[in-house]
Amino acid sequence: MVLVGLLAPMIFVRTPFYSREGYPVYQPVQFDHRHHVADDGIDCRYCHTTVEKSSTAGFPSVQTCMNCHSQVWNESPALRPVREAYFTGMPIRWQRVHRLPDFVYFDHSIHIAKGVGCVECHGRVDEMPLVMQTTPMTMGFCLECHRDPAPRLRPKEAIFDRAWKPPADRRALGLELMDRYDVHTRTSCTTCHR
Amino acid sequence: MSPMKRHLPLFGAATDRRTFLETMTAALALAGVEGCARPRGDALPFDRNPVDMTPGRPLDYATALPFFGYGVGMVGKTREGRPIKLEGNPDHPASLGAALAYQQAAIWELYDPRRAKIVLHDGQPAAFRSFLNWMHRKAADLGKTQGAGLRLLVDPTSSPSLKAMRKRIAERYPKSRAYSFSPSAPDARYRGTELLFGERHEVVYDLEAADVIVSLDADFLLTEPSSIRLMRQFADRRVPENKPNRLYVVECSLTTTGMNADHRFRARSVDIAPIGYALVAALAKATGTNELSSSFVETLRAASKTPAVERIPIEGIARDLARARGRSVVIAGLRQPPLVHAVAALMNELLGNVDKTVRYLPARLESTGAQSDELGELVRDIDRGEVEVLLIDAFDPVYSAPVDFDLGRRLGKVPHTVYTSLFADETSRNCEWFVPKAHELESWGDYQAQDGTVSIVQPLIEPLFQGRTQHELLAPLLDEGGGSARELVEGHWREEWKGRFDTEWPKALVKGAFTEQEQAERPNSSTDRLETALREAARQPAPEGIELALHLDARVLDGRYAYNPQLQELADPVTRLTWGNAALLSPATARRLEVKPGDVIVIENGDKSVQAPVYVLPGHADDSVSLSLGYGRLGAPHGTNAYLLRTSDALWFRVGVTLRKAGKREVLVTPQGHETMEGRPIALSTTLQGLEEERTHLAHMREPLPTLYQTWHYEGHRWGMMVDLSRCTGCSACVVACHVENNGPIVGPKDIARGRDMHWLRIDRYFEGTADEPSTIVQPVMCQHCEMAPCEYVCPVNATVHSDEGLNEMVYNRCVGTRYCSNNCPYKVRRFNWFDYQGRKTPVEKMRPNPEVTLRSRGVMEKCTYCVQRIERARIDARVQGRNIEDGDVKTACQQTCPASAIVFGDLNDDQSRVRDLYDDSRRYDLLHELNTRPRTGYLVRVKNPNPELA
Repeated sequence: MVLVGLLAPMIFVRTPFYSREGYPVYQPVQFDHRHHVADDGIDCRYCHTTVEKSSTAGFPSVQTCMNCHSQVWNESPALRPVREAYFTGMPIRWQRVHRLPDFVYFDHSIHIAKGVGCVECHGRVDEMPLVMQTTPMTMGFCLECHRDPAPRLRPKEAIFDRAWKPPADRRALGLELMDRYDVHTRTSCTTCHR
Repeated sequence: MSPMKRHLPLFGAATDRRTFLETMTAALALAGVEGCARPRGDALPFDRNPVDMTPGRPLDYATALPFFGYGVGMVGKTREGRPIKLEGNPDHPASLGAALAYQQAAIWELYDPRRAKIVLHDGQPAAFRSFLNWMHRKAADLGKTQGAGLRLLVDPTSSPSLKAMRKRIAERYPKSRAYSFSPSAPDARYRGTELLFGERHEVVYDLEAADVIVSLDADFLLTEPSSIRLMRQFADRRVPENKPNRLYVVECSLTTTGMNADHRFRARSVDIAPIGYALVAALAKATGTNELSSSFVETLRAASKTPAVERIPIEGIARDLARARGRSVVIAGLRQPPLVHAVAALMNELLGNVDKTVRYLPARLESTGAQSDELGELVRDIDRGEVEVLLIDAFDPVYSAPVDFDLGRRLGKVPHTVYTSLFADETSRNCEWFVPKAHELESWGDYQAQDGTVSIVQPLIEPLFQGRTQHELLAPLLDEGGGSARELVEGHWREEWKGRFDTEWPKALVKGAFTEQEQAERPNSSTDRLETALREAARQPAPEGIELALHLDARVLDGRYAYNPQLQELADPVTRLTWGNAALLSPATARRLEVKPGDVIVIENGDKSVQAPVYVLPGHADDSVSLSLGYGRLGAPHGTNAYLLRTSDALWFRVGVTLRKAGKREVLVTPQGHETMEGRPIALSTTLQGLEEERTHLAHMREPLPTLYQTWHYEGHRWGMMVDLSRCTGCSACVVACHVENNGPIVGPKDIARGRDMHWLRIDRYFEGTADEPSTIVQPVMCQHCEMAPCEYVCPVNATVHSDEGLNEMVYNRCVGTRYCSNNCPYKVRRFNWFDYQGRKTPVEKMRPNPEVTLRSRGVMEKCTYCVQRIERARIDARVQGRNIEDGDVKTACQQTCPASAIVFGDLNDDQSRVRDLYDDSRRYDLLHELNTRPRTGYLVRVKNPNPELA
């Protein structure tokens, strides 16, 4: 009984119930990445502007939405909260999908610089009507790649290419990229925990 | 109905009860599980894209902070629109990239929730607009009488725009008067130049070329203007490779400068003047000059006939000075009267030091005379009923003015008083209008350094509490009220630069420092006035009795920083006391009075008295009791208010006070219990003469000892840190810089008394020699990042591990709080969060922490990490740019702020790095080397340069 009491939570936190992998997150405005990315062809970086420069990928401001939606669908009731947010200055309460604990310091820019594509960790966002977490995003998940990055790298030109298909021997390509991009993944604790 | 339900109904258009119940039960069951899921929270985006600012990256702005009224150029690092760290501006000559504890702690003052937030009129909240309206009406009234009833009481400032505004006020209201007042004003030095040259000059010292420095009660390394620059110049000349200088200090109490002296002599403050006169006379003989008349020299000798002078080797010092003509300097301290400054300037003349180690420039601070004289005139104006409107922009005058002026009561007699300050304090209670001041980091303004370099003060954040700048307070008098702070400052520089404004202003803002070219002045000296003053001094008998000596504090200065808990909790470099001050007595005087440390004594100065606990300070002058100014304030009641003993005729010292026991004891709150090293080789010191021999001794304290464990070979970076004890002065700027950078908590006096200090870096201070004439040495101690760390072996959960680059890593999220690591650490550099010090924060305090460093909760151990967040940031930046980390990319917070450049951090595997040079220096030794911990932090032995003649 005690053993179950001890083991049950330990198993629980390793399941998707806890990590929320595969659970779409409802948003106050139904922003559809399929439409904006796959249909309209907007690059990830148009909205997530600081992914190559900063630790955070950047959450688009309401101004970014209104860049198009001041003209396109500018009277649509579905976009009313966006217009309201823009003109009142009160932001929309988006629900975060990917969230790491506060004691984890993740930096996007270094991953982009070394050939890790968006899809590796965030999945095919361009096929998601509602964004959901597709990878466990546990420390073990991060360490898997840090211990063996080769099969998870892609050429820098393909980082934002959602539909990129890896070659048959992905590992060989990865090893070559590790050499080219000077990839030395670190597994010491302070790489992420400061 | 929530937007979600509106747009994404969970159920179809219609549903039956069965489906509803099934779904709801399932939802209920899952809801329980949902609650156990990893928390996510909201994402609130910006409304408009911010210009320039990249979330996640810091943005630096150049600004300046005042120190004694002069500007110290700073660079403010902001994250997401709020400042989180201050560093010196490398382009500014007064900071040279460094900063003292006073400047590093300013972040805490900015985000202090106790700051004044609202305009008060007779104690009731009011709008700033109503204050402006009132001021405009009063200005109109005053205009009719040419300002006859208008008085300003202001902090002496070097700000060009503020001085211009005050000048315009004086022109517009010719009958008004402006009085400057600051309890720490350097006016004695100005008046000294007046005595010698006939007019006031700025005295700018330059220690780069100084081989011999004589300090007459001048704590020039810390509590004097330009101390940052002077400390850098001084420390650069302490290393054996740079032909070390020699420092003689004559002082009353032990100060930071005194701790670094090669020869230190103690004398009561009142005895330092005759010592100065005797030195001039001896110098006249040693240099063989004929610039001084024999009658003058006779007057000097007559004025220096006191027993105190006989204890000092005056002739020896004079000979040393004479040998260093043009390469020496005599500095008199701010506490000494103008005559001492005049004779110090005279000595610099005789030694040919002018334009070499001392320069005279136009005076920067506006002031027409002695601080207490001006305040005395204001008091007389009030008593005569001539004051209608009094504007106060000075540091808490009711608290800090000489007590015989009874300013608090007199303010009640003035019909209209206006006061501006960061905090509600003694003065605000006595004033009609209280306008919250904008913090320097929220203000527009400008300052000049002593050498004339101007820095524009630009805000790093909008005023948090609707504070107003000094310009905004004066503007209504000039019909400029309602003008924004920025307009008022820009307006001044538009006037100054005219057509050049559009090119010069952006340059000034970016660089943070610009110089208006000016010639050094070569004033003509005349000893006539001096001779008269000296004859007067010679007539007075040498005073006997116990002297009360008041000092500026190494932590709160004159009290203006007393509200800052960061500075209250910083241990004083000399006494190692926190959260308060103490009555400092020499061991002999304490024995004579039969008091022990902690006994409370009553100090009586005439009819005024205070109580203070005794601290027996080795090296303090006999028959003198020292008290630091700046404590016992309304909102910072710790310690004793020494201002209660300060009278206008004796601002800094007076002989003839009485001491008696109060019959009770008080706990002295200090994190350091030990005064001596007890013969152990901890902080090592040698002399220049004995250095070669010492180098061979130190070799035994460097080599690794045999071990059974396998040693690791570090291929990549091998981080290390070298601390040069020859350079370190003990100022403790690094302690505060580290604390601010790494989100260190403040624990309060009760926990400090329990030994629960949370500073990752401590400056141990040890005495050697005798209790009466000790030699002092300081040593900064932080985590040594041992390659064979005792703490790593014993952690049961592997919360502290060793990185592949040699860092002893602390992983806060794994720590369960067994404290075994701290138990095993021989250096005792680990700090434990006994309580949740970070937990309860007001919204304003939540803006303060550095987002790059984890906030530690209850039960977690923490320690110096070699600023790993800075290492990782440098690594990421370098790797994104496709290069490796270069030497100088990573500066730990302590290294970055040190004015003395005593701490060097870097890659030991990099043959070209500075740290490697120091690592290879044979002055290096490891702390507690015999334990074979193989620390990555090394110390370089301090090398003193005593005069062989004076052995």
